[in-house]
Amino acid sequence: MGTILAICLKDLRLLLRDRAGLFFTFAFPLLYALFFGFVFSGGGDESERRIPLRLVDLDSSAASAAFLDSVAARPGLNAVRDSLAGAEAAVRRGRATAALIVQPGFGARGERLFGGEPPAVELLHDPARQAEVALLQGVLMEQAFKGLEQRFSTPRSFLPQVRAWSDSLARPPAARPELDYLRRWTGELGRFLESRAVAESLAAVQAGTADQGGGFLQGWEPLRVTARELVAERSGPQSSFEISFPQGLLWGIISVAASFGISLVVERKEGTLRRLRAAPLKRRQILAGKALACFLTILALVLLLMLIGRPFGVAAERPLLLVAAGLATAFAFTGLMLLISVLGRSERAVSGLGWSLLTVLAMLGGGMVPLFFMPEWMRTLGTVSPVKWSILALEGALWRGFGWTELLPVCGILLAFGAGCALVGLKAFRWSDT
Amino acid sequence: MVEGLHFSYGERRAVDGLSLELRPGEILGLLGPNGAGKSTLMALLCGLLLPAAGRVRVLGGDPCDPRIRARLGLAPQELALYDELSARENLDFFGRIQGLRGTRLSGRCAAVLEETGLAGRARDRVGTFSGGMKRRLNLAVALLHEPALLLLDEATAGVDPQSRLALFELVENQRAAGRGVLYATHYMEEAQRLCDRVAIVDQGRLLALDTVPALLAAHGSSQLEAVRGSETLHVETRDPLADLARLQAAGPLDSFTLRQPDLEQVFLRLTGRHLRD
Repeated sequence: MGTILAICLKDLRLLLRDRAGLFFTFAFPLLYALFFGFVFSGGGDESERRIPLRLVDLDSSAASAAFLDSVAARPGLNAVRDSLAGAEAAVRRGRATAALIVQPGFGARGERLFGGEPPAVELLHDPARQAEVALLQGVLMEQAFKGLEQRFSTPRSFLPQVRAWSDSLARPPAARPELDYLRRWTGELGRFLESRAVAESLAAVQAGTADQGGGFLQGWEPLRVTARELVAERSGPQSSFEISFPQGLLWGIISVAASFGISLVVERKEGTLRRLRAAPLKRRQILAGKALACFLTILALVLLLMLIGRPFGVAAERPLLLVAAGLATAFAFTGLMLLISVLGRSERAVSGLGWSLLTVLAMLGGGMVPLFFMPEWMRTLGTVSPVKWSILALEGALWRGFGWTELLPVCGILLAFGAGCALVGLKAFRWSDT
Repeated sequence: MVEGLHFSYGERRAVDGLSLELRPGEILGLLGPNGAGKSTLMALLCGLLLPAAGRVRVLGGDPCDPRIRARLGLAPQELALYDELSARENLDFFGRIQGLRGTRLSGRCAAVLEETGLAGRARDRVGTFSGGMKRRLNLAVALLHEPALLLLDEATAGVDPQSRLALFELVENQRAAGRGVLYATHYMEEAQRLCDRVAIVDQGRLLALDTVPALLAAHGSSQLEAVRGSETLHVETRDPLADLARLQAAGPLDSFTLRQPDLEQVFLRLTGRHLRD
């Protein structure tokens, strides 16, 4: 065992001294995971995830300003005041999803109820952003209802408007029964608001504050929607990092398998393997030392990426499952490393063939493009790739909600794959150049 | 000791019925051109290759036996070292492979670094070493576990004269310590200087095996070159004085040069080719 450890430590030391090898083993997979994690999460800046909106006020009234302020305060919108020309240019160049243009007469029209032209706004938008525009329309309607709610809940300011409106209805252009009903209703509404205003004044005198009780029309709203957070069962990744970290990890593992496979050929070419063979060692000790170094490097990589992934939400609910997935993956690719080392006679041949094989396996197994983007036949073909099973095992432990029942068969496949490759590799390994 | 040894790479015979024996405390030279079968013989002696026919016995046992291998020290022709590791790290690793541990390991590492003159560069990466330094370290690794038999394959290939002299000294020290050394080379000067006996091999066959004086006596002759006026005379002679007197008698000589026989000449006579062909 001491000899195997000595060979293993030597290989780990050689890896640490090789800057390029170190980069592709540890830094590249991390950069891959972080880069694609950020790309698919839509960026790390919260403001970039909000809908960009330009606000244009062509009315310049107190009502239009209040309306635009209330829109700008909405969460989920990144609203900026702009001129009409500026807003049009921003939408045309894709800097804004839409421009909300408050039309002239917005304030005056808003004082009327159930008659005349309604206050108007225009939503100028990019036709390719229909989903976001539909969301914006919903937001605008909600704001309009909030305005109505505000009027009914402030009787003193609403009363003059109602009286003016009632007076205008007293002189109908023609005898129409529905206007007669409306006139009576506005009269009643005016009396109601007067009584509310008197009640508010009395309450303020008695309590030194406005009436908060009674509740009738106080804070009136057409519909109250409340949101309550509930942690859902995890049936999908919580973030893109839970996809990109296993994928990045697999690229790192592939790099480790390739470099250790090639290193065996380099040792044969440079004569160090001959020296090892001339020592009182068994062949299996030499290969076991190399395999152990490969195995430990893969485990170190898994550990590193999982630790760095934690702040990005990459964490297993059941860490033991992740440990099992990591061990099975390390075993599978250690076996594959031994197979790679027999693919050719020279370093160049093994490097070329090894990387070609690994790239195809990565492609088939979802290491480049997630399998759910692939056609059915590609997914079927992917079952031959250890990359697929490794990603499945890691994702199973991270976010697929696997238990031991689901994980163990996947680990079994990986162990069988690794053992098969190792046997072929050991059988076919060329000990000398000649 | 090898007896009637045969080994082929496919159709090409690398060792063809070779027999020889190395005596304890002796430096036995294996002299032959590149491709003569020297490295193959070394590999057979280490158990890295198995003979197609014949018998190999090393230190009284089978070279495939780990106990026998533990008593062998091989310095292969290629510099079998890890360039990214320091000299000390290389020695430490190969020492562990040979079963050394603890204070014995550190003591032997320090000793061979001293012997090879590399103590001052022990912590430097081997990749920064000159060719001569790498050769010395290559030999140091072979000496690390104090083997009973040293197998040195082209131990001075590509080194400067100073390093070569240092290597010669190291090899001679092994003989003084009572260790057997099999020294494969294609430099006849090295064989002539270092070796107690020399085996001349070509195309896998043993052509001659004896001490250097005996080989020269058996297969070599002196070269006498005499100048008389505008004429230069070349005479191959086993009795230079008699031949010189004969030439002088035929007419007065202006000058003459006598060249002693060497192993190059012996090789030429045995094979019809030069060593470096």
